[in-house]
Parts: sequence; C-alpha cells; structure tokens
Amino acid sequence: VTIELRQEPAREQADLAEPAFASWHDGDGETAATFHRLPRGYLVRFLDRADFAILPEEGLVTCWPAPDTSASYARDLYLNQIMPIILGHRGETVIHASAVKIAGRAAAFVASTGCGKSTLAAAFARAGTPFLSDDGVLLTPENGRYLASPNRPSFRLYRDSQAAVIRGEAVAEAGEDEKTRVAADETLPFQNEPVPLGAMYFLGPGDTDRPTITPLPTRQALAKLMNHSFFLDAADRERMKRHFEALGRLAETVPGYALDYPREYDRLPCVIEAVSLHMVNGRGVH
Amino acid sequence: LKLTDRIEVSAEVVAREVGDETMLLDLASGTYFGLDPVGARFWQLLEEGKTPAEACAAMEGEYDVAPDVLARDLEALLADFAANGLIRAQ
Repeated sequence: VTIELRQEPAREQADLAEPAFASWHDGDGETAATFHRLPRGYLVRFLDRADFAILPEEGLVTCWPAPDTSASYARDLYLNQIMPIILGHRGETVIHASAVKIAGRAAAFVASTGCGKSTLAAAFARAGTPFLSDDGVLLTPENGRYLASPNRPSFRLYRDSQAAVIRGEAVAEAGEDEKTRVAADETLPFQNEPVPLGAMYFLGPGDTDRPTITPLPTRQALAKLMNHSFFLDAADRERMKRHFEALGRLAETVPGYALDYPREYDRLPCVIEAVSLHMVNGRGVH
Repeated sequence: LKLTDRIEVSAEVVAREVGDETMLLDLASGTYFGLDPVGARFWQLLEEGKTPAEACAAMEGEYDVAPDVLARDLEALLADFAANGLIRAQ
C-alpha cells in the first residue's frame, strides 16, 4: 500500500465546517475521534491530539498535530488508526485486536481501547509467547484460512501496566496515566512473520472471578467484528456491503470465543494458561 | 401491520447467512438484526417480492406448524421488521 504522509506544523483544532458523520468513543464513552467529509476525502479529528486529512484516491494523508501533541504520538495515531482505516477503505480486513502466536497459530484478542488487550498480549510475550500486534491485526484470506500479519514490534501500555507486566512489580490497580511505548526485545519476543489465525477471543468486561472461555455463535462474532474492525465510511453502501460480506466469511472460517477474566495483574498467568490450553486443545475452558 | 398488507423491503438492508442463522445489516442505521431459520426464510421470501400473505402460505408447506400459529408468529415478526425500519407499508 503506497500512502504518502505529509506532516504540517502544529495548529489549534478550530471548528470544522462539516459536522461529524461518525465518531469513536473510548472505554469511558468519551468522544475520542470525529469523522468529517471533505470534497475529495475525509478529515479525522482526534480530539486535542491531531487532525488527519485523508484523500483515499490520491493515497495522500496530511497530519496537523495539535499544539501539545508530540511528533511520536501523531505518528502512533497515523500508524495505529489512520493506516488501518485506509486499509479498511481499500477492502482489507483489519481488526482492532492484539495477537500472539500459540502453537503455530495466532490468537487474536479483540476489544475496544482500554479493555486490556495490550496488557494481555504483553503478559503473554513476557511469558515467552511471541506477539504479532498490540492494537490492530491485518487479516488476509489465503487458501481457506486467514493469515494474521505482524504489526509494530512494540506495545503501548500504561505505566502501571508496564510496571506490573513487564517488570513484575506489585501494582494494586490500573491507573489512567498516559500510555508509552515499550519495544520488543529478548524478554518480549516479537513474531515478525504472518501466521494463520487460529481463534478470535472477544474480551468481556471483567465481571468474573476466574477466566472463562465460551464459544460465540457465528452471528454474534460477526456483530462484534463489525464493531471492532477498521472502516472509514459507513455511508458508502457498496463498500459497507463488501465489508459485511468479508467479515461474514471471517466469522464463518475462524472460531470466535468470548473470553473474560478478572482485570487483576496477578491473575494474568491463569488467563495465559487457560488461553494456551484452549488454543492447543481447541476446546473451551469453563 | 397485517399479513394481508402490502409491504416494501428497505433497499438499505443486506442479509447474510452465518451458520444456521441470518444477519441483517441496516446500512442506513448501521444496526444488525439476527434471525433464526424461520425468520430468515420469511425475510428471504419478502425480499424476493412475495407479499407477507404469499410468504406465509409458502411457509405453511415447509414447516410442520399449525397455520394459525405460523401466521401469528409471522405477523409479530412483520411488526418487528417495521418497527426497526427494515420494511414499510406500501
């Protein structure tokens, strides 16, 4: 995919002429991003972070960071959010998930921002299981299966997640500070080749006292995939139909499971064990 | 809505079979609806241009169910479809 990124100087986020036709919300329901139409494309506004103008036909993205946004943060937004959106617009399937390689197959942990998918994948990696991505996974159909492509060799984690998962320190509960990047190394192995996708685990809210894995009906998996995949313009009916069809095929091909577990750092080893067993044995753990 | 009414299926709805169920996606609202095999068959017949009454008559021959029970179930389904903007009265 050839996409040119133009970096413009920082600017204040002035009101936009076009009202938003879609928006993204974070785990607390706060608006994180709004989508606006431009004459030949779209403008995606990450509130107080950066504006991105996307011209899909030209393959051109222009970024205006907000005044307090670092260049590396704007680049993260571009690579983790804008690129998957453009891939989705071009008919590729990118799901909002982290992924690790277990027994030769990828296990994808699908969830919204702030639900623990990066922390879970980092805990797997710290335990020696290579990771493919912490945030978005490109899935390519091939010979009746789906190949999961590696994304960036790093994790974006809250500082207390880093302390608990990466350094093994005792941390009472997750905080809400800024996420920073932790690069893959010998203690956080990265899988740099695509592997077949073995299962999709849709993360639950954490209202449980032990890990549970239950099969998800295909229809429910499809509905969840629609909510957790990158797609630019829901008003583009033809693209939306193709997107729905593509995710339908994915939901039929790769088994989906509801995975829930208590969101406590010291319980993550149990989750790793349950998911690993499930991937190896191919059956639910209750 | 009655089964004897004439209806129009929204052109904004895409149906897809998944497993033994069918998902409807309303492109206008971005909402999904899951249908069991009976509901899916009813939707398929409506989409093919059958009137609700014709669809009901066709399904009487396909399912081992009392005609009045089928008619009552399909009428309830028809109301659901209409309430969710998937069909409208002509």
